[in-house]
Amino acid sequence: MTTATLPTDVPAGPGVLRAPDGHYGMVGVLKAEWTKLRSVRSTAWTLVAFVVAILGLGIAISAGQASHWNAGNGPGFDPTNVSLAGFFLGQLIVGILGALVVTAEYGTGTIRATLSASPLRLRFLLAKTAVFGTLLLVASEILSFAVFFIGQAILGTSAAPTATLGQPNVLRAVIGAGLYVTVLGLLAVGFGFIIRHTAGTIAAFVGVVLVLPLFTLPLPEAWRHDVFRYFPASIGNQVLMTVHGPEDGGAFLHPFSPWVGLAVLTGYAVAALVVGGWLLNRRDA
Amino acid sequence: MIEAVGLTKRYGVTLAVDQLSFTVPPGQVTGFLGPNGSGKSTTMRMIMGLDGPDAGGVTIHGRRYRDLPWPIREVGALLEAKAIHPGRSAYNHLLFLAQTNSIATSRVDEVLDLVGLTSVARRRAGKFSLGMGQRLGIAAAMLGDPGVLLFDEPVNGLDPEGILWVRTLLKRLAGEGRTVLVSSHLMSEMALTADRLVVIGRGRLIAEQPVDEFISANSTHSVLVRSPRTGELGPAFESAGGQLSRQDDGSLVVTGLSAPLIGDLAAEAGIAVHELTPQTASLEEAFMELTHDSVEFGAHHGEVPAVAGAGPNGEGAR
Repeated sequence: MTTATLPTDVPAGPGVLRAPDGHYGMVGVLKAEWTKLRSVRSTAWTLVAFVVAILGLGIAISAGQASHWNAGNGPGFDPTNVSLAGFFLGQLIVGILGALVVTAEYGTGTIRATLSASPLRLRFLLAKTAVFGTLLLVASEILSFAVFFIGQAILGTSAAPTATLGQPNVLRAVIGAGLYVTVLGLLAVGFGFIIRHTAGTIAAFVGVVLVLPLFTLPLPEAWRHDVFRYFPASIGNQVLMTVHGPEDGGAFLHPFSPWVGLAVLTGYAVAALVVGGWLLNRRDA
Repeated sequence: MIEAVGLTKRYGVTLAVDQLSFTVPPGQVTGFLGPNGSGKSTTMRMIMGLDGPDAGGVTIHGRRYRDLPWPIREVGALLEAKAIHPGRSAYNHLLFLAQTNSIATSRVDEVLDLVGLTSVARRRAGKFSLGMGQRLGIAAAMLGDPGVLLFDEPVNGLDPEGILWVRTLLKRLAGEGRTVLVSSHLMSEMALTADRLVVIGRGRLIAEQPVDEFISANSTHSVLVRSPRTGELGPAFESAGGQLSRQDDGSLVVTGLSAPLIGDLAAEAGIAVHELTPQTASLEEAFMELTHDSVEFGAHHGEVPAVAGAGPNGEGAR
């Protein structure tokens, strides 16, 4: 049992702390958001899960390819894509983290403390988005390059082909992998501001990333391809791929090119954040 | 100085706050009194700009909350206990608030010391008791050394020592010239702490006046009289203008006559009086009487009646 005794003296009078001129600013709100992000264990644990997913799957799948390599795999083999395989799981983990950084504010009541100190609500939304986006971008780019080099080293122990950053599309795929999950994380932040509940936000995110594409299956063939390319899953596929074999894209023939896909995805994230910001300004906290 | 004018808030069909106007002047503890569910917390959230009013408005030093340049250096609030991430330490909770308003980090340690949480400042706040959560909330309110302070039910969950400490703190803060608004559903607490009262029931203003005025205006004075011959005393009191109420134990409760007059009347009649006790209806009774009326008044106007059995924090309707 914790005991903490109450001091008998009470504070000095008003004016002890003199407010500076001007107005509370973005820098303070950014610092506050960074403090919030680093001061809860869920951030660290989710980032650990992210690292394990990307490195673990990348290493496991690279090692699997290396140990079962036969020359028949040759055409269409994409060593970059193999080493980045963990990003397919990583995209779900950033969704959870993006949801939590917003919904934990609501779930715990912290939002009322936050908005007491920063009643300009869009300033708070921008600061949270910027701090979380920066953390996610730095972490996922470091991981992307790390798992690429590790994966190529593992593949290099066998007769399997390996990639270098100088080969066509490879640097784009490695950088793009980090950008892809970062933008998805911000999409989850936007969903968080709209939905405000952890379970609902994660469900919406998983629905958009994994489930919604399934509903295109009953569509007529010609439409399905045009619809499917708008889904994050299709965009992610294109970003992570460097070799376009004859059967490339499988049943989906009209994907966006990687950069166009990332721009479309960024559009979704911005739209979600704009709607979230509009609701944040209108709704009671 | 806080000024509310025509403040109105509706949640669906429930009118939580109805045309509420009041002023909270500096230098005094203003008690914000009303039963659970009467709209106190909603009003406080509107003062803080957290909930938007459907009509009317509220200003602090003439400004809306969101227009304050350094919000928590000007207004400090304890709105609900433990509105804090359970995984975050008290220190980090206060640190992010301080950073938002460019308050020196050293002030975080000062307010932790002030509320006696220094020894547990680095622990996860989820492990805190309700009382410790309240003290953390008070620390957060004091962080910016603000001239205006709002406390929503600050003594909830505190032990007697803590309650006494909060009362002292509130009086001291007002004594320093700050504007202090403290809500409670307990009249007895207000009687000990507040200088002025803003009383609401069902979201409407019932009274706004100094505590002593409120008490004298709303309590009835009566005198308990015990005598072996109350049957003979009764008519004497009635002819002097008193109203009688006969108690089961044979005593009389007389209203409308002062105790000295009653004693004199008994002496004139030559009847021995064994007990003569002036009684002041408690503030709690006065308050219940008032808010009871407000509930009936509301219901007669076809509004939704108060939800029966609303919990101790039932005003948290959102």
